[in-house]
Amino acid sequence: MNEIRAILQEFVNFMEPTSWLFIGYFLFVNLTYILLVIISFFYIRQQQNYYQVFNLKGLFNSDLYRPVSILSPAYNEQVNIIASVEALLQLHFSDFEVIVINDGSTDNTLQLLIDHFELYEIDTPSDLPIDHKPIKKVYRSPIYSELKVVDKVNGRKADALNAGINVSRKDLVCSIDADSILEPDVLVKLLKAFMEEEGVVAVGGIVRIANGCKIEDNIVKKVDLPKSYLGKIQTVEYLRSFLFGRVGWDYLDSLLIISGAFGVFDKKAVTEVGGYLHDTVGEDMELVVRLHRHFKEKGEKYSVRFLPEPVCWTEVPESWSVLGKQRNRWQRGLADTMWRHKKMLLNPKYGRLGMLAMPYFFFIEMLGPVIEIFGFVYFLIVLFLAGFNSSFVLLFLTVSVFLGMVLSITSVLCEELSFRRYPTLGNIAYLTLYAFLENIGYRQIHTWWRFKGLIDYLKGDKEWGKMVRLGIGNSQTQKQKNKIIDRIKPAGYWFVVFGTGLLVLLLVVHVLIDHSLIPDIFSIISSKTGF
Amino acid sequence: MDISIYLLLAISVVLFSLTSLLFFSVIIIRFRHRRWTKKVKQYKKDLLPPVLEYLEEGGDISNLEKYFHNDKSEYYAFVKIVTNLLSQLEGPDADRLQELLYLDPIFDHYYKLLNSRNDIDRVKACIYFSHVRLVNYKVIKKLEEFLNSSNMMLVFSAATALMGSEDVKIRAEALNSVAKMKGISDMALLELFHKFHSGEDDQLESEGEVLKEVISNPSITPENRALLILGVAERGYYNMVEFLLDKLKKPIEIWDNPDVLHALIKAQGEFYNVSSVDTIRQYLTHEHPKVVIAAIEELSDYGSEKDLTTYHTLLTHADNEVRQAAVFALINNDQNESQILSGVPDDLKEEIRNIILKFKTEKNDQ
Repeated sequence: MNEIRAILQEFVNFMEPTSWLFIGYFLFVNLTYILLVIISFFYIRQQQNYYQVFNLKGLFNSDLYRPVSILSPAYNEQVNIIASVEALLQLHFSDFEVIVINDGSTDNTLQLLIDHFELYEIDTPSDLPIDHKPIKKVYRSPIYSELKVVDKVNGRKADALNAGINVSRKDLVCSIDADSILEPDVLVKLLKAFMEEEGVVAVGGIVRIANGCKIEDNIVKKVDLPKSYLGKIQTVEYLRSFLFGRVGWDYLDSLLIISGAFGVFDKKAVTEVGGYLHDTVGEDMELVVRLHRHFKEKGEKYSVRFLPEPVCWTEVPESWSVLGKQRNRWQRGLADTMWRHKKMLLNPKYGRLGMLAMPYFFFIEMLGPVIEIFGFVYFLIVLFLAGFNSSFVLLFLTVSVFLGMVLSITSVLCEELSFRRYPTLGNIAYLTLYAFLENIGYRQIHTWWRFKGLIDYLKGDKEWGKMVRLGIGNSQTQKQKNKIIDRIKPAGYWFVVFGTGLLVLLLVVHVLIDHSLIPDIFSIISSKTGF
Repeated sequence: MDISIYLLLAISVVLFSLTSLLFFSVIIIRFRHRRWTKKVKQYKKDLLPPVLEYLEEGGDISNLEKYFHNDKSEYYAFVKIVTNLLSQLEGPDADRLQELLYLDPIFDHYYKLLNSRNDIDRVKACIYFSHVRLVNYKVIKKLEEFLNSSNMMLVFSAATALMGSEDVKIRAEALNSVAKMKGISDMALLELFHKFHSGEDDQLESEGEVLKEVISNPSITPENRALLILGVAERGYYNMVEFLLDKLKKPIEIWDNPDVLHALIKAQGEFYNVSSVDTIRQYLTHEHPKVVIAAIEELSDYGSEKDLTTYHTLLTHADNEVRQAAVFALINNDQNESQILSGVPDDLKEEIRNIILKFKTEKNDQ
């Protein structure tokens, strides 16, 4: 035991000079977040005030406005595919087409589409400016003339989207996930970005969590929070990420991410840069960064926008392992994009992108987990050795938790001031509670996933990872069918969550005892039990 | 205690207070919003029957004034009711309904907003005035003032409101102001252009006349001029055909621009103006590919057999999009693959074959 203490003490001594690095990093990160929050808060209000300026009426009487192709890549999506495509075909927009790209599904996805929409084969396009795996067949539906189905050799999502871009015949392409639920007026709302500004090459909308909502015919009828702990935590995360992260970066003209689940791109611009990249797992971010780089280098006026009003609902993973794989993949995608476009980092030639956005994503989002992991380990060891003032530790933890909460609750406030999608006060209370709870256990696990993602990237892992789609609204039924073994698997994660909670509780009790605010229960217990 | 602990304690207290403040703000905002929604719902319930009664039975609109109690939510609810109904009505009913927006309390409220110093309030007022028939001189004057604002949102909303004026010159001025703006998107300009048309076909001629001035304004960017020309053709301002053809015949200064020439050629096609064919033919040798493509596309539909030789020559044009347009024009004029390929240099044959295939696929797709 003494030997272990000595080793740990040595580690603490070694880390001592770097303790300011953790504190400095902590301050830097949170200052950046606070700035983004302040910007977003005012910007979102301004956008709301001007929301009705561009109401599209006359434009739809013209053939000169920009029609949209919706690209929906599908790989083994038989659970949702028909309902999803039916819903897409009901969108309110004058001129659009839906292109479903069956990316070599091994299940019944294609056959279901053929049977349901009575698809017939048409010629495969010969002009394919963007590279992708071969297209086997292209189908059309006699029922819906605006529906096309592309059957191609499996090549993952980016490859499927490239095939969709090649087949599309419209000016704008909207990429979505096969299980995304778009609100009926989403395209009209997104088109406003192209009205507000000239030279828009990409626009993203907000992605909200569909788990827990009442959904009929792939339309969200009643909004509610997910039932599960992970679902609720992700709701807070998504609100924070979209309502202050992306809104803030949009204001700074430095938006680097448009969610793969929902984004509209100028087809000409995407074709010009060569479409989505095949050998990356972060194709959505990579494409946006490449578009920025391309137009900056060309010296052309362009913009990439985020609008918080158009909504896409998506199913999020509610199991620890699937969520872990997703976050691991996101981190690898981020690292890959940063590496590919390292030339832009701290390069004044790229303006705010090079000097603000890229450093933020590189130092905070990409390298953040490394520093945080070391910070957590250091913190635990110091605590174990009790070489630190417990009040200081607790207060530092409190500051960190409250900062996280302030940021999360500000996004809830932005939501309340603008969109009010969560209808009950209970929803608000839950969001606030989970803004607190996510700091205890989940945040540490999330950091670990991201850290591992970075390590996996360095090891060259480019696997997508299997995403289990239960089908929105099916989660409860599926859950009951799960085997006992699947229920035991997440125990490790729960152990971390409860362990962290217990640790915090012990720390609080310790501080209270230190300051004689409560009796020394530890001494009482030890005297009574003899431990 | 250590100073760092005091500092952290202070920060914790501040953050805790801020967290609580934010949380309670969210709750208060939710309660206030609920109360407001309830109020608006009640107003709508109270105001809808007299509005419908007025629509069905007529009567003095000032009778409706007694329902107002100097409350912004009432005005909001009332305008919402009227504008919703307006979107479903046309003709005399819509005109009578529009009169309701001129009720004194409503008008005064929005007129006050129009004169406010706050751009957001001004925009709100502009949106309100975009629903009414603009006859009030003071309102028009104020809206015209906003056309010079640096706030693009205000300019656009003021211009949109001015499109409600019956005076075509006022509408043209508004369109002109927006078309001159740098950074205005083509979609926004197009939206405004479509609002420019009053909906009355007997105004097409006078609208066409003022549009000639707008399009000829040297301050407008070539891209916007081109867009307006395409809009004019699509909307069918036939009294502008000759004017636009003249510009195509003698493209000097502002008219000598690839985007503008492209639009002028396309417009002639849209107008089905066969007499423009000779003029368009001159552009087959223009230095800018975009202009050549427009000329090929239009002549492909309205040209004659003598153009086939030119299309064949253009198969070796330096620009691949011109080559593609030439292939499409040849197929469109019933030339088969071997006819098209005859005389094409060997190094281009593969490309031309692919273009023919592409054309056929697109044709089948349609």
